[in-house]
Amino acid sequence: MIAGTTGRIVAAVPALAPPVTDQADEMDRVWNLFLWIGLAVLAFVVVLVLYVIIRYRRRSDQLPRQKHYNIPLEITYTAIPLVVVLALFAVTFVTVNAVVDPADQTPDLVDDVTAFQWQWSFGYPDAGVTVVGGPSDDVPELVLPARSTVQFDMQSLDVVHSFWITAFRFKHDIIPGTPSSFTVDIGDQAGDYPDAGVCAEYCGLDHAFMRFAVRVLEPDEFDAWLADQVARAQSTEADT
Amino acid sequence: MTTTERRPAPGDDHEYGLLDIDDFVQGDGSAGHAGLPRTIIGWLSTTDHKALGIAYIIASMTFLLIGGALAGIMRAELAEPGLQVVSAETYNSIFTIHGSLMVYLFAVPFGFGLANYLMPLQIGAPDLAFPRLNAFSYWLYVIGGTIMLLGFLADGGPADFGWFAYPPLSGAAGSPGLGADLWIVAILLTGTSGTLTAVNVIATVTMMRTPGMTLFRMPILTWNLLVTAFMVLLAFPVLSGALLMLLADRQFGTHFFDPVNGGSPILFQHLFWFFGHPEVYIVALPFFGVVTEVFSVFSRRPTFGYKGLVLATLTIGALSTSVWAHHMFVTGEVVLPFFALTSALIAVPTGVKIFNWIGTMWGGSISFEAPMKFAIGFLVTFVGGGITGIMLASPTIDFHLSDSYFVVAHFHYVMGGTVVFAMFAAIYFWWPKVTGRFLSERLATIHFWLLMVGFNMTFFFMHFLGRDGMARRTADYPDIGDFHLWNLIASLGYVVLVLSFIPFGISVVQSFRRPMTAGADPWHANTLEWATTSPPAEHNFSWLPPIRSERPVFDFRWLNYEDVGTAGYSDAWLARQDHDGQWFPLHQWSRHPDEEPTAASGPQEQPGPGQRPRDETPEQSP
Repeated sequence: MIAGTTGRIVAAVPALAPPVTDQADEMDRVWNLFLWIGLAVLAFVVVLVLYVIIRYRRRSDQLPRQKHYNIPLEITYTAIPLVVVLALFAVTFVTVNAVVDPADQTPDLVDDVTAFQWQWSFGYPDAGVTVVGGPSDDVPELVLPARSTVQFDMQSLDVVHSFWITAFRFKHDIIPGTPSSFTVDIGDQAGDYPDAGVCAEYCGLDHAFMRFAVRVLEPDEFDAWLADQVARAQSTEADT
Repeated sequence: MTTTERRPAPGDDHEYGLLDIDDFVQGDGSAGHAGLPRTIIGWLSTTDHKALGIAYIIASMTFLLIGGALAGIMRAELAEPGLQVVSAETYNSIFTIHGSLMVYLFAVPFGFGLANYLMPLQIGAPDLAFPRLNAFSYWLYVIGGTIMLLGFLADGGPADFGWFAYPPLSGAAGSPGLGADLWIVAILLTGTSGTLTAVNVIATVTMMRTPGMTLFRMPILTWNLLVTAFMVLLAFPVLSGALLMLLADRQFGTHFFDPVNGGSPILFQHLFWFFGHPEVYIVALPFFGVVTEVFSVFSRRPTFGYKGLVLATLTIGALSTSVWAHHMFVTGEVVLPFFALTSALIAVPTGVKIFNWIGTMWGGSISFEAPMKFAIGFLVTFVGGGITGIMLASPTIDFHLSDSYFVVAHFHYVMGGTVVFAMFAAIYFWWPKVTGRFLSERLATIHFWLLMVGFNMTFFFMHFLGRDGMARRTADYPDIGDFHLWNLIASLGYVVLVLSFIPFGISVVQSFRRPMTAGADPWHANTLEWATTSPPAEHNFSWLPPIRSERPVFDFRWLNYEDVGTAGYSDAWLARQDHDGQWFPLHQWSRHPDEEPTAASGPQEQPGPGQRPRDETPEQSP
């Protein structure tokens, strides 16, 4: 039964793609920091609770000391969390600013992302082409060049969607009537991430199936791919 | 351990010189069902706070069971990739109604049930300030909940836009069905009900406390209910306003949230979360109060840092109104650092609470009856959810995790697990008070461990799913990575969760076949609800102990403890006197070696109104 219909239950390949943007590297760094501090706090509290319930379990009917207050202790356990939290906020503050306002704002490529119930289209306005379907026709594919700065201009045609690329460790809501954009710096690694694109904001009936694939190509391969798309679009136009 | 073994025999108490509260309340400590209606018409028309409190709790737990059953359909669907059990359309309705039931119709009204039943008892009042308004808000709530469920009969099914109903999806074009309108009306009615209850709670706590019950002698549960009521007053009308605008958009052709005609979908999100985040604490604070009482009673210690704890509660209440936009980090429409800072800061008073609870147990004499087990379960679960909360408060991390299963795991830890653990702590703790009977300790232990295992199995692995890229609110998922494994574990965990309710159900049925032996104060507790019969008679009290601290029943019971006042065991006595200038021992023959209290050395106790001393008390006939 555990084997199920898929024939395997423990995956060889993790579902989460490696970070492909400089910003994703930053965010994974913050994630790791928070995770380890969080686990340390969790372990500390759990050990404290275990210690207390073992050490101070009832052994007799004598009334224990009735201690109401210990002001220095109370100040300590208010101040230490405050310092930890402010330190974590400082880390967040620096990273958020780096992610939301990257230093290099001139994009090498602009990508028009259009979300609609329940599909995506990716336009390359400089080349004048729009890609709706991908290789498998039902899952659109977002193709990006490595080592480049890409600006995504997003719009929704109907309801609120959210453009989530797990390999970017980033998502951005797409609110109808409010065009928005963000910029990322794609890293060095080319790669194929068929499960990296997700609509994260619930958007109605087929929300669960509103996914897209992400492929990062070497810059020269990308130019060839884009030229091919332009040629295909022109031939389709000529046919009709 | 059976219930009869657990309960200290009255004879033992007297050997220790303890006062038995049963000797002071009228009758034998068991008043039968005095005070509760006996007929159906009686229940339908009652304005009694105890009857309505029980009715709130029964109604909210009914909605919990319905919501839990809907979750079962969701877990069955998600056990394997692909659509097997229900269509995507049905799944979307089910998760919407599941979330709505749990948030609007279970978690908050259960807290109102506690406020109804316990708060007047804890402050020595005979009822809430406005009993008929109280009955009115109860019936608004039940009617609202029924209207939401009627959506299942509507053409096109119930609402299917998620429990936060973002427009334009929830607008006339996005969700044309009648179920959506029923949902909006249902939330408007329950929201109004909550607002009225909040008014009632505030009026009662401010005006009807018994003489001697100063603000800083109120039990922490009452404090938390008071702060909750203020937050309800602040938050619920905003939700009602937003939903009225949404209803007008749908029905009357207005364009508040319609982007095509210049409306603003983001405005709804702001209004919703201005309600939605205080809502989280509206749900949680009453349960924080519950476990505070439980930790103190079963550790035989006062609540450590009582005033700090109250301050932390007030701080949470204040901060919770300025954190709402952390639900909207990924919209790109909010000031990230401000809301990141306020959201992170709220961890500090919450951490203070956790340390106060541990401090209460520290140095105590802890016994592990069922309420204490569940309270400790609450504590561990809550810390787990709090950690992920701090992570999500950082926009850097939230960019990836927002609207993923990580968030599902997070809020099921903070709003699901903690609420359910604390709810059962409350039920096991006050069951003897409400019914006069005990629940089985043996079954409670099975219940606790099944709940612990089932809950963590169901929700822990959702953290991994979210981190690896599974979006919430999806009827299906691609068969990638370990998605199938983790979903399967979660679905099996749900089965264990369901099993955990069976010993509880058996225990309840068994309990009603037992005699009413609980007496007034079976746990040797602290607060005034234990200074009356179990169940309490109509108008609650025939007698009240003097109130000199936040633990009047404790003070009263331990007063004649033969060792209180002798070297080595004087701390209780001294601690009370140190922190309460008005505290003075009732009995005149205290044997404290250093300080022999006499009538001249302190204010003489005068019996106040409501503190009718009995003609013959054990003090005078030891």
